[in-house]
Amino acid sequence: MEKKGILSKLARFLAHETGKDQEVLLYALLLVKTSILSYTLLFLFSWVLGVWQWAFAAALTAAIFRVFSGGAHASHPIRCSIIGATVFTTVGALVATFYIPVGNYQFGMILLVVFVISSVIFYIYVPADTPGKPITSQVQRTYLRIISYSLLVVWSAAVYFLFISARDVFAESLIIASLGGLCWQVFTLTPPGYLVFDRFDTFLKLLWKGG
Amino acid sequence: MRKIFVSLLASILTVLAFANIAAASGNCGYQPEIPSRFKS
Repeated sequence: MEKKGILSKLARFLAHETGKDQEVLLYALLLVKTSILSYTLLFLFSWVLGVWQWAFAAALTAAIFRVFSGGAHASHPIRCSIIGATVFTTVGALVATFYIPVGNYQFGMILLVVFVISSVIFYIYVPADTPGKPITSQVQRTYLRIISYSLLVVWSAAVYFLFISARDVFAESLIIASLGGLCWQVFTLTPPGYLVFDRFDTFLKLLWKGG
Repeated sequence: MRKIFVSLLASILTVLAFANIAAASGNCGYQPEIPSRFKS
């Protein structure tokens, strides 16, 4: 955890003023900083390409599932933000460019396939923890798996009803982008997902240090 | 007023930290190392 810098000073100040634990406050400030950095960079990347609505639909879906299911992570907040912005802008751009209106039946079939694959991967890998935050409690592992499943069921039902009641192509394409976000999140739970994330992270690390 | 704001901010941050400890990970692709007092 960082010892210097503005966040550390802010945590020390808050701890001094309120008597709360400085390390806990610094931890929360790091989480807030990472979120602000990630969504700002995502907005910039996707806004330049004019696809920010689709990119955010994908990113927010992935973020909600990620809280309960875990997944691969980068080793630095900046690299996490770059990876997230690149992936979700790409998802947004692909959906915005190539989305062809599909019927309710076809969408239902696509959703069913995604639901079944996601369920299997959730059963095997959730919760996918990280070295910085290992999940050792069996109780916690069980409730995270149950919440992830419940969320998948609720999300699937919600997007199906939203899709069949969607009045225009734009609303439909946002739902497809959300589906793309879920697919990426499910992929990051698997060993190939960890590998891709790790390669991406290493590549950015090399770029950062100039090889 | 300042004291209330500082207290509120610290409380929100503490709740956020505990919520993250209960969750599988953060909502973004980076998970900071958890504070030593939460390590079992």
